[in-house]
Amino acid sequence: MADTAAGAPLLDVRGLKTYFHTEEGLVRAVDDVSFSVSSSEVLGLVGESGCGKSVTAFSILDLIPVPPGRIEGGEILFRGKDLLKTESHERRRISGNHISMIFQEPMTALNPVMMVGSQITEVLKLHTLLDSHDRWEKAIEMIAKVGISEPRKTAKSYPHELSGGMRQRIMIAMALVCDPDILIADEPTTALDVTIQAQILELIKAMQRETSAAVILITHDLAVIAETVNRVIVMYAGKIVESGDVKTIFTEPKHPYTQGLLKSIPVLGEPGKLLESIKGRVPNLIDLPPGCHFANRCPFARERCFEEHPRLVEVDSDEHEVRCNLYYD
Amino acid sequence: MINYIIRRLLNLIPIILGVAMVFFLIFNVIGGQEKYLYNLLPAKSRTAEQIDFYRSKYGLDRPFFVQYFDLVKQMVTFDFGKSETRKLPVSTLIKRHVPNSAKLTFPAFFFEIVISLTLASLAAYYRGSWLDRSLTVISVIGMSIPMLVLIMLGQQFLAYRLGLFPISGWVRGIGAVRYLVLPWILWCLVSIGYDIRFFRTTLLEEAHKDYVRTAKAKGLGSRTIMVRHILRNGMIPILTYVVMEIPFLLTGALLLERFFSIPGIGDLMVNSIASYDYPVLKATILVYTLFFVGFMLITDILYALVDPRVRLS
Amino acid sequence: MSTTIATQVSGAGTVSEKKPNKYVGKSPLQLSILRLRRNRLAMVSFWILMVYVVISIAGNFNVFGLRTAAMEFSLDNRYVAPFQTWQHIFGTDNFGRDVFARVIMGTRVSLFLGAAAGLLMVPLAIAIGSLSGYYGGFVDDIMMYVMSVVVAIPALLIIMSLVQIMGRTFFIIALAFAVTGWVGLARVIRGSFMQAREYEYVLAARCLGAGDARIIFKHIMPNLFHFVIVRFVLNYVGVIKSEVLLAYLGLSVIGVPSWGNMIDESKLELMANNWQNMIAATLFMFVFLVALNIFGDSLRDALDPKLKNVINRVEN
Repeated sequence: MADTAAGAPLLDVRGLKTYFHTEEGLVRAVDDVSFSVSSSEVLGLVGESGCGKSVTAFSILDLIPVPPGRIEGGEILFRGKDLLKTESHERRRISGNHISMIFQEPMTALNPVMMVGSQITEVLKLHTLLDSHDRWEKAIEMIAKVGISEPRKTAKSYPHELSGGMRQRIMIAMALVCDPDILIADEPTTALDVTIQAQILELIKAMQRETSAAVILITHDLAVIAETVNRVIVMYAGKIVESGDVKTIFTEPKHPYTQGLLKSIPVLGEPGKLLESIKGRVPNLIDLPPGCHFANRCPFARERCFEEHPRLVEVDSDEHEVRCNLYYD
Repeated sequence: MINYIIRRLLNLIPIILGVAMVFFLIFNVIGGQEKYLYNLLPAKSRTAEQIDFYRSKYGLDRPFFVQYFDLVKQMVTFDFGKSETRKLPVSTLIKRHVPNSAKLTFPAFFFEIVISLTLASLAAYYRGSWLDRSLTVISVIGMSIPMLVLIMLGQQFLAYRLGLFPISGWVRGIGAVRYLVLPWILWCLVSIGYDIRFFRTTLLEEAHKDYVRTAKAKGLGSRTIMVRHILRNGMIPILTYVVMEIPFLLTGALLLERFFSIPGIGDLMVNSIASYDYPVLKATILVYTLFFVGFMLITDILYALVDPRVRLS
Repeated sequence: MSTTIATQVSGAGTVSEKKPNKYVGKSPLQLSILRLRRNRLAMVSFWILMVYVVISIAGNFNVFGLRTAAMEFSLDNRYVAPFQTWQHIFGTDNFGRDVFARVIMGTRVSLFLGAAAGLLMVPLAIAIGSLSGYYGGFVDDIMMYVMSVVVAIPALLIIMSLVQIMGRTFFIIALAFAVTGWVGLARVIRGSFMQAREYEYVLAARCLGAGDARIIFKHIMPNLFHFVIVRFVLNYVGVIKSEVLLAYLGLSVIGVPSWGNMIDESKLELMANNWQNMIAATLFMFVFLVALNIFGDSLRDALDPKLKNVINRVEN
C-alpha cells in the first residue's frame, strides 16, 4: 500500500496554523509549519516541550480539542487530498487505518475498563470486513508480533495488569494492525524506563522495516533521533527552525538553537567536561515579540533579530533549511 | 466472592456496635430519658411512682454499660418490645411499613437515575447546544427549590386543582400504583437537578481523558466513543455518587409518605419522634442503617463488575 | 558585539515581558480571584448574596419596625392580600403579621444558621481529616471507624433526634447540622493529607526541621483551601434546604419566623388560596439558593479548574 504516484509525497503539510484561544490570550501553538513525508521515510520532529510538535501531530489526526483549539489555516494533503476539507466521517476512515498514532503515556492512553484484545479488535471492526473470530485471531497475531509472549493470555488482560513497556507494545500493535501508511509516534519512549525505551524503539524500527510504513517520530531526545530517523525537523515556539538530513543536522547544525541542543547532549568518554545548556527559557507563546522567537536566548543575536522575523532559507543543499537571520541578508 | 461477602458481613458487627453507641449517647446519655418518661405518660398519670415504674421497666435505672448492652441485644435480636403508642410489637409495625416504603422509593430511584443519566449523556454529547444549556438551567433551578415546596405545589396543582392524580390515599396490593404515580414524579423532579449536573460533569471529565483521544485516533465515531468508552468508564464515579445518594432516599420518602398518606417507614419514624415512642424510633433507625450498609455491599460488588481494577478479595 | 546586546536584553527581562501581562507574577489565589471577577454571572451572584447579608443583618435590629410587624399579632388584619396596601406589600398571614417583614426576618435565621453550621463543621472536619491523614495508622483507623458509623446512620435521623431531645434552639440546630455534615469534607482532607505527606515539598520541610504542626498548618492546609471554601458554600445550600424540612417536622427554631416555618405554615393556607407566605418565602429562598449555587460553582471552577466532581450532593 506504500506506493504513491512518483514524486508526490505521501503526506504534505503546508502552512499549518493551529491556534489555541485561551483566556490568557491567543497561543500560536503551530504557526505556519510545512513539511512532507514520503513513503517508508522516518521523519523526526524535535523540540522542547511546548514547541508545538505534538500539536502538529494531533492536527493531522483531527485530535485537537475544539474549543479552545482551532486550525486556522493551511493544508494537510494525504495522497493529494486535503484532510482539512474532508468530511469528518471520511477522515475517520483514514485515522487508525491509513494514519495511526502511538501516544506518550501508555498508562492512560488505553481504556482501563476494556480488555486490550478488544481494544485492538475495535480498530479491525471499524476498518476491515473480518468477522469477530478472525478479528480476535488477528489481534492475537499482532500481539505476538510486537514481541509479547503468551499473546492469548495477554489479549484477555486489562491495561492495569500490564507493565508500561507491555502497554506501549499493545499501543503499537493497535496502531499497526491495519497496516497504516503513516505511523505517528508521539514521544513513545518518554514515559518508560531506559532499558525498555531501547526495546520499544527497536520494535518501532523493526515494524517500520517490515511494513515499510512512513514514521513520524516526535521526541525531545536527540539520541533517539540520531539512531532512528532519516530526516529531522527542529521546532521552536511553534515554528520550524531547521530541517534537513539527519547527518547534516548532527554534523553541521546551522541554527543556533540546534547547535545549543546538540551541545547539551552528554558525550561518553569526555568526563570532567561541563555540559553546555541553552540560557533562558522558552518564551511565553502568548504575545510573542515580532522578531526571532529564539533571539532572547541566542548567543549570536543582533539588533535585527529582535525586529525582523527570519525566513526559512535553504543553505548548502536543497534539503537543508534554516530559519535564521545569520544566513541571509 | 462468597468469602468476600461473608467478610463484609462480619465488618458489619463493629458498625452496628458503633451505631448502637450513637443511639445510646443521644437517647440514654444526653438526657433523652427523663424527657422521654415524662412525655410517655399522659398528664394525669404522671406521678413519681409511675415514672419510676417505667424507668425500671425500660432498665433506665441501671448502670450505663448495662443499658448499652441491652440496646445492643435489642438491635441484634431485633426485639424492641412493644410500641407504647400503638400497642403493637415493634417488629410487626416494621414488617408492615417497610414494603410500602420500598414500593415508593425503589421504582422512583430507579426511574430517576435512568432518566437523568440519559439526559446527562445527551447534554454531554451535544455540549453547548440548546438542550445542554436548558438542562443546565433546569439543574440550577431544581437544586434551588426545597423539596417541601415542590411536593406542596405538585399536590396542590396536579392533584387537587387539576385532578390528574388522587390527592392521597393507600390500598394494599397493586392498586397502590394509582397513589404512587404522583410521588414518583415528584421524586424525579426533586433529584434530577443534582443528578444531571453531576452526571454531565463526570462524563465531560471522562471525555477529556487520554484513552478517548486514542479512541478518536483509531477512527471511532463520537457516538461509539460515548457509549463504549466514556459511559463505561463514567459508571465508576457515577456508582459512587449513587450510593452517596441513598441516605437522601430517606428524606424524600419521609416527606412524600407524610404528604400522600403512604404508610411507610418514614411516616412511622416521624410519628415515633413526635410521640417519644423510642422503641419504634430505635427500630426504624436500625432498619435504615441496615438498608444503607446493605446497599454499600451491593455497590462494592457492582464496582467489581464495572471496574476490572477492583478485586473482591 | 552580538553577545553584549544579548546580555543587555536578558538583563532587562525577557522580551516577551515588555508588555505587562496581567497573568504574570500572581499567586494562585490572585489568579483565581481574577478568573472569578471575569465571570459576570458569578459577580452578579456575589452581589445578590451581599444584598442578602445586608438584609439579614438588618433583620437583627428593629429597622423600620420590621421586628414588630413580623412578630405582633393583629387579628383584625388577617390574610390581607398582597400588593393592596403599602403597609403590607406582601400581605399578612393568619395572625395579621406582615409577610414582608417576616420574610426579611426569616432571611436572618436561614443565613445565620447556614453560617453557624458551616463554622462549626469546618474546624471539626479539618481537625479529624488532618489528624487522620497526617498520622495514619492507629489514629486513622479510629477516625475512619467513626466516619463509617456516622455515615451509616442517615444524617436526618441524627439531626431530628438531637433537636428533639436537646431543644429547638438556634445553636442546637446548627450543632446538629455540623455533627452530621463533617464527614464528606473530612474524607477529602484526609485523602489530600495522605498524598501530601509523601510530596517532596513536605519531605523538604521536614528535613529543614519543621514540626508536625508547622507542616500541617503552613505547608499542607493552604493547599486544601479550595475544598474547604467550596464545601462551606455547598453546606450552606444544604442547611438552608434542610431547615425547611425541620420546620415541617416541627423542629425548626422556635418562636421566630424562618423561611421554613413560613412554608410550613402555608401548607394549610393553599387550599384557601392564601399564597403569600409560601410565595414570599420560596421566592426569597430561591433567589438566594440560585445565587449561592452559581457562585459556588464558579468559585470551584475559579479556584481549581481541575477540581470538578470532588464535591457531591450535600443535603436535600
